[in-house]
Amino acid sequence: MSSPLVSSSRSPAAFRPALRVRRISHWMVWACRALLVSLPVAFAAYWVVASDAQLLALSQLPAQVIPSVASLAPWQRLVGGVVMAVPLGLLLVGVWHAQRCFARFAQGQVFTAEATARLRRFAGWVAAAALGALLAGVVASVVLTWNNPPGQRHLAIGIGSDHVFTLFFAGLVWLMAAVIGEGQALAEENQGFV
Amino acid sequence: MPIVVQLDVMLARRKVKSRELAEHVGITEANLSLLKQGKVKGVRFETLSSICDYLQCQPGDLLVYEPSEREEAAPGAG
Repeated sequence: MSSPLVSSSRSPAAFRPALRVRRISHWMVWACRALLVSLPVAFAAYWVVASDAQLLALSQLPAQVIPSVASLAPWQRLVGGVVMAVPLGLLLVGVWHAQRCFARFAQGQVFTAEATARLRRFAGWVAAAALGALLAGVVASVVLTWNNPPGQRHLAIGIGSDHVFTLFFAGLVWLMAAVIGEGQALAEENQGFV
Repeated sequence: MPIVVQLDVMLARRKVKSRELAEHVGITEANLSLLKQGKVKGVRFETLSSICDYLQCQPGDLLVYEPSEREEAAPGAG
């Protein structure tokens, strides 16, 4: 009963959706690869070039506090950048899993255990990146205000709509992966029929 | 599995080659071979109908129910 069946002939019309999925997935693989390269480069460039006020805004400090913060020392930029790079790293791991998943889709392997697992991992890493961004903001606020006089150092905790949306997106993708998993079970069942 | 596929018997009776039948039905020879060996989970009505059409037979000529000893002894088995 476990012998794999060779796929039978299908009408050209039946292949059209699969071809579309494969074509779009092929482009998504390249989009993911572009993100994997461009995001770290853009992030590093931003932390080198951006003004002190722009960097302080990233660390969830309230706008009225930013003018009172002493100018950033090079070590603060470096440590702040490393701290804020952690959630980016988590996100990039997620993008790498998405790229592997799209590569499977591009090969026509939509309802496979690996594709489903990759999609789940993508959702998990994106959720981790959202939570990591919350914590990184807290640590970065301390690092970036470290040169302030005693009593004017800050520890900022904030949650924004982007964090909530990212977590919602991750949950949605995880659920879609579960739905594809159900489809995978049906596809395996269907493969046993001639 | 108490369902025994007797497709090879019917092919021999009708003197039809597997390749010819596979072509008529629209499945691969490999899948037809698995069907002959009973190594499939099921047969679509469309496939069964096409096989019966080509071999001029009934589904009962292709599929036979042969209960195992355990099933015969089970309550409600008759």
